[in-house]
Amino acid sequence: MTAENTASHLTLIETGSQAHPEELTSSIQIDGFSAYYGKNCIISGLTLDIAHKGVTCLLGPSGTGKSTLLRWLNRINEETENASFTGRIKTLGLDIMEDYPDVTELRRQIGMVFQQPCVFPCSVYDNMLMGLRHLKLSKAEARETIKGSLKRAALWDEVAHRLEAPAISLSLGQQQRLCIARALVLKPKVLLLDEPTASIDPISSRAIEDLVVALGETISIVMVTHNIAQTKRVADHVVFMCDGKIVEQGSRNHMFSLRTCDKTRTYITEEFCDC
Amino acid sequence: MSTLLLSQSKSLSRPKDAVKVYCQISAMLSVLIVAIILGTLLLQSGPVLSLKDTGLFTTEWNPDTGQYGMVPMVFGSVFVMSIAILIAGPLGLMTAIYISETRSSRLRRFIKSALELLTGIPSIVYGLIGVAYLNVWVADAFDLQSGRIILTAGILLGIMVLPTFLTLAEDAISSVPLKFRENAKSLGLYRHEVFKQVIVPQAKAGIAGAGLLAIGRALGETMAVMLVIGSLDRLPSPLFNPLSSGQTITSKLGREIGESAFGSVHFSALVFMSLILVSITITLTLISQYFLLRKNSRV
Repeated sequence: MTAENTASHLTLIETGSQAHPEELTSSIQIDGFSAYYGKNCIISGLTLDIAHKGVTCLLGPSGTGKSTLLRWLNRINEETENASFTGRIKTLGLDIMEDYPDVTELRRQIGMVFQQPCVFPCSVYDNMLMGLRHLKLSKAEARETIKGSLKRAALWDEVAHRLEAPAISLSLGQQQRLCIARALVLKPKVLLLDEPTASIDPISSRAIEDLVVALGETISIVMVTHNIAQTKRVADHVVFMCDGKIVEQGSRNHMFSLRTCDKTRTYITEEFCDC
Repeated sequence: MSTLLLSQSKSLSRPKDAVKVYCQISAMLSVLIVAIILGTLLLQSGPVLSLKDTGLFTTEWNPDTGQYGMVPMVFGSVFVMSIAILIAGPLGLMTAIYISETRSSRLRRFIKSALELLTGIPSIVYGLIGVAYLNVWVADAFDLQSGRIILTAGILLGIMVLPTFLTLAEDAISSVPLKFRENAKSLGLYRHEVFKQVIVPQAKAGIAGAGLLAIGRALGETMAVMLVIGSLDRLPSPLFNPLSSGQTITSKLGREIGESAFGSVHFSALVFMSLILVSITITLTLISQYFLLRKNSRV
């Protein structure tokens, strides 16, 4: 049994003893996953189960393959030249390659928000409408759905009176929450967040963290972060990655206790990794 | 004034300000050059505009009888340009989309380099190819005695402006940051939806600019057109028949400017024709800028 398999096994025992039975079901199952850019192996032989609800943080130093892993979960990485992977990823029981010949179907179920807020050069309302067009909803239905998502993203009160304003006129923190709301409008089962607070101010970051915690109660969130304090605030489950491998994973309480392995403890206490 | 000069000379001691003044002078110079060109054209057009019965807006061009009807040349220019844009526009835009959105970056670089080489080929070379081959093919295809017609000029011009339009349009599309594509795709949009809803709104100004440059080149091209258009100073019959010979402003200027005496009415008429050409280009630029600004202000 490999180190990560052992860790995964321990985690399942641990989560199983604490959590609601519903949480035993995985939203994402990753098995023997290796990712490459050309011939460079970025992640090798990773196996991981992600719970069906709650916030899972992928923690680790830069260049360890956290974002690459995240970007493969909704296959956005296949847009990157020379990117490839081996192994198997299942989301909600379906293989992301074999069972989704049309990748857009997969992406509509697995929302993603990137590091930098990226609003489209149109109004707040049109930004929200972008992902909804294929549903051919009536105007009233679309408006209700958009309102619901903006409320879920805790943005409705701030933009209700300016839905027709250019999205670019919002503050960076609001733009990032708009990106989250835009992803939520499709009612995804899983939301991928790639360092969503890396380029915004601390106050906005806290608003997004609160939002992530709230969303984690209903859907599965996978969040990449370098920020140890943030991980401590939002994570239900922490996966510590280094050099393309899982060093250790477990519940937040476990990972921030002193019972972890040396590498994890060094990283969490000294923000240093000697992988 | 002296205070201003003194303060400027003081500020020039700092390199940052020197660069600023240099940039301001350069910007003013470019405006000044445009003003000088327009002023010169207006001034030199004076003799023909001051005379009566020169028939400037008729179809009769005969310097011997003092008739300077420019309508066939203006029509020829617009007609040839339209054919060129009809050929180069859709083809260039589709190829630009294909290169920027679907191909690998290595292939993209290769195609772009090849296209940029094409833009560097002198127009006389295109003209010679037009005379030697295109001319003959068009004559054979339409069973004509001669292939020196408006259509040949339009096709040749289309081929000439295609690389310019394509490379600039491709640059405009590729310059839309990757993050917009990724964000749109992560919302479950198909590739064509991403292009239509996200890329086009951001690249349209660049594509329009590419189109304008292509139109500018099509309107301004002399040598290649002169060799294949047939140089007949009359309107086609019927009017929009591309299979008849014609004349453009530039081909007319190319043929006759050397034969006219500086300061003569003939020379003045030719200069006035070039003023019309410049006016058409400026009008097209202003119209497109107006529409782009109006669309942008809506967003």
